[in-house]
Amino acid sequence: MKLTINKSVYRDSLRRTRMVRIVSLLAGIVIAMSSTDYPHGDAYVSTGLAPMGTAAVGMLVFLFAGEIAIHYYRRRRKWDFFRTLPASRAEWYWSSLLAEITNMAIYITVTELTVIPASFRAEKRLEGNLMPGKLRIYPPEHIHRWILLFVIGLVFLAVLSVIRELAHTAASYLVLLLGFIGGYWMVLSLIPRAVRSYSGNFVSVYASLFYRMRLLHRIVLATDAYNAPTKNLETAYDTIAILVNLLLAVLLLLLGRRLTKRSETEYIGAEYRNKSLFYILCVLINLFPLLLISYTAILGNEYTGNLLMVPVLIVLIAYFLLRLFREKLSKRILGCIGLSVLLAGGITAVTLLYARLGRTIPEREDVIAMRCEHSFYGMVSDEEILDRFYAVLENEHDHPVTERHEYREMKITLYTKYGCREFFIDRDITEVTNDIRRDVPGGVFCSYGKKPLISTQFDSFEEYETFAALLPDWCRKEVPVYYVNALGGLSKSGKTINIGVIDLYRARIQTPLMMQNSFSPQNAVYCSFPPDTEAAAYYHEKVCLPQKRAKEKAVRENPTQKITVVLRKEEDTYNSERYKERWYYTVLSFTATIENGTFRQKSGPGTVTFPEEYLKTMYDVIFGPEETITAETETVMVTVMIRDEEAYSFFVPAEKLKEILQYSGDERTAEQKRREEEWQKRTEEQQQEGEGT
Amino acid sequence: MITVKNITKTFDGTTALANLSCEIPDGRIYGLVGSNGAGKSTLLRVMTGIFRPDSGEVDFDGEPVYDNPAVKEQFVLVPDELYFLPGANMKRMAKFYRNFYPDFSMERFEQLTEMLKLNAGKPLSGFSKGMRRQAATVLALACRPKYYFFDETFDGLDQIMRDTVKKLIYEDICERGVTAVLTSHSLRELDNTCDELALLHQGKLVFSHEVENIKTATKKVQVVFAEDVSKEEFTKLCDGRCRAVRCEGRVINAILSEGAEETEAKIREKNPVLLEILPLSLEEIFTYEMEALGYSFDTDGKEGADETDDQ
Repeated sequence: MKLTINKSVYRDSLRRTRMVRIVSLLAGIVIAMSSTDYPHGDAYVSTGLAPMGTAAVGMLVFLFAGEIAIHYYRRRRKWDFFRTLPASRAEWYWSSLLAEITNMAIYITVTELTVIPASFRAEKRLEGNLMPGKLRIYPPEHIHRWILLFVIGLVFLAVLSVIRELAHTAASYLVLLLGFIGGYWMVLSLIPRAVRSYSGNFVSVYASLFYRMRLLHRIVLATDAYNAPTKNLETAYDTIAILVNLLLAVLLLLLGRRLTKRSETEYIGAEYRNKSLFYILCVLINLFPLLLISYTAILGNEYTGNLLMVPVLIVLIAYFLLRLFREKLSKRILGCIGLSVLLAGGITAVTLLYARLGRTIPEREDVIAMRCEHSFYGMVSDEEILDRFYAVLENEHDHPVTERHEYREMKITLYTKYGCREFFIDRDITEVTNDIRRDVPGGVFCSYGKKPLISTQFDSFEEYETFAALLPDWCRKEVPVYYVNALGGLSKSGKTINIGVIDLYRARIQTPLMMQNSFSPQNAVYCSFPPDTEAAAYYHEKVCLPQKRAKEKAVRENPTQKITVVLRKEEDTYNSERYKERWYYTVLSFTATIENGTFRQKSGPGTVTFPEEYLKTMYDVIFGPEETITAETETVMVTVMIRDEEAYSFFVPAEKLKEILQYSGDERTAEQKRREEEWQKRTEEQQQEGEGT
Repeated sequence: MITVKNITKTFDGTTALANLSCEIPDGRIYGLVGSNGAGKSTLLRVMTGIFRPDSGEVDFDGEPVYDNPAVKEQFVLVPDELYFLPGANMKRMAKFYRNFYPDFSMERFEQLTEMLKLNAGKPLSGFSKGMRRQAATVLALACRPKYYFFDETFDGLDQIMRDTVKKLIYEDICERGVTAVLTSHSLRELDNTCDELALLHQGKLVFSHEVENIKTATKKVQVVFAEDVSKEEFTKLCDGRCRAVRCEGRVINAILSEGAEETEAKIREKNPVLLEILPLSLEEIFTYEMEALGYSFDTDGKEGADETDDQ
């Protein structure tokens, strides 16, 4: 087919879709301006995507509706009309396609333009009047998105054109379209997994549609989305994906048979139909997942479920190829394979690029809170830094050094309206002592737009920079900056900033921006975006309370519950002489059951009696309203395990717990006692040496 | 000249056109008639390059038409089911056509629009069926092509407008010597419109003659003999030149085709009590021809039940 353009056809096609563009533009403006009211502080980032995504959907609806209407009502007449006009088929095809591409370009440009005033508005709402340089990060991202949308649009339109040529009726058009989108979506959902290893050990988690639906479903039912392991959800998704793929394959097969039969029977339009083209499309659709699944299999990716699809797809492709061979279309077969490879390569390349940039498909979620924890740690490697650090500790604060640890990986959990997602990121620092690890920064800086993600002191990055400038050199550390993007993913910005690395005795140098490793879900609520009380309230009301009530209900409805109660008195960080007066608590743990309202202890260290009269109190403590705890209140963290699945932690006043459990005095572990004695011995030796000198 | 050579077109095993050949000389009005499903529209679509034939070819002055924009510039098709660009009015359509047809005359367009009192600025979707047909005809005539193809040209037009449209086509033919191919179910329209007429049946060309020749070559006779003459005897008398014979008592009605004068002489030799030679309208010729081909319906809806038996 020769690439020829007919100006008249081009102009006409462009003109015919003018209304779609106008409507899209108006819709884009309205959505862009209204989206700045988004309550969770993410307007800066999200406004760029919100109108684009929504308006794009609108445009597609228009496009599809138009196409279906044409197929349903006008296809025959339209093509009869066009085919009599003095323009070749090639001219019609390429000119129309070019016009559609132009439309797409105009649409995206115009929509992008509508975002700019919305962004200014959002900026103003969030951070007051605009300041010079505020939008300096914005344009590159904008352009990047524009290019991506354009490329996706281009591919989509090309395929749409092919489908249009293939389809005979509105129904077949719709089925082909859905088939293609389904296949394409499957491909897109697989690629991010396949390219993890190319993404510098970090890639945004791709949230597929099924994944989202699953999470949404869990949230709606107020179940345990927040504690469900991501792996389980992925497995569920995987299963559904297999079913969808199978269904898709069967549908395509049936449709293929039907269309090839109809291509001979259809009265009008038989000339435009090319059943070989249909085969090509089918093979393309089925070849992508096959190639990509094989690809992931070779790389040893964990995404193994879809591998079951491989034999099915091989059979399908073999079937199509055999049909093609039978019709002696060897050139088409080669062309088909070539096209498949080319297209798959193109998509993979784009996705690889995306993965590199820590991006994912443009979808957004509402991040409410974030929890950070260290999953494991090992030995420190940088002795020089460590020595200097210890020297500072010992000289300035007279603090002993007993253990040296390094966190290698940090787990960050993002809580969104749709569920939680876990990210594992590598840390590039850390030299810490076991005793003070709770206060040592995690080595990353997280922000949401320009807001520090977890902070109680800083409202903006500029404010933090002012603070950071005051930090002495010895506690400066360059750490990578991650930010929560509007897609609900965690992205690495490629920048580094200076942070304070030490918080000694919660004095002198504060590090409120750093990730802490002791966040509990309850804390996370109050450590969400500082000015966003609405988000915190939302999280508390919609997530915490339903969870709590569900558990309450479960326990009350079922009189026999296995409950594991782990009681731990708050352990002081430092066992120095100076803090000798602090309490040392022993971790208590026991398993118990509630049978017919009677609490029975089953196992656990030490003997803990639990009088029946305190049963009601225990219920209140565990499941009832939380006690008011002031800063001076000595608290004990209580973690309740139900059926070894759920963890629920809260703080209760130690006195009350003592009363309930008849807790008796000091129950320090042997190790703690040994360390304390060792420290006392060392102190005495030092004193003796001092006296000696 | 349009040359159609051995065209065959099938759809799902159904043969729409079977080895059909014909020639349409320049400067003529060529009518296509035939039963429903005879292949008139398919032939028109093949001739205008919408369909590619399974075999055979269509040439315009020796140039193939299929996917050939240069040839397509020479003709305009006004189809049975009209199509206009969505939301377009006549002015926009005129501009659209102007881009495709180098000889498009805006002057002619305006003149015809004014003559037919059509509102060129009004969206065509708001036009009535007849007005849409008029608009399509005006646009086609303004293109000033060498060939016109009209499918069911006069469908939806009132008598006055039919005459007007006919007049416009005649004018164009007289002025520029163009060729027009028309299909119509109304044989009366073609009767006094076409120079040449082709009858199609089941995808085949039954005949293609000049209209006047068809009319003069075919006559209807009504004969009453003094004695009884059976159908077989009468058929024998006519040497197989009668297309249809119907006997009602001693009254015989028959259609005579070629050599009607000779047959008439033979009948007169038999001294008939009454012999009347009646001219036939095109419609009647069509009906009789179709009956001869077995295409007729009795009152019970049975195809080919009555007249063929009488033959």
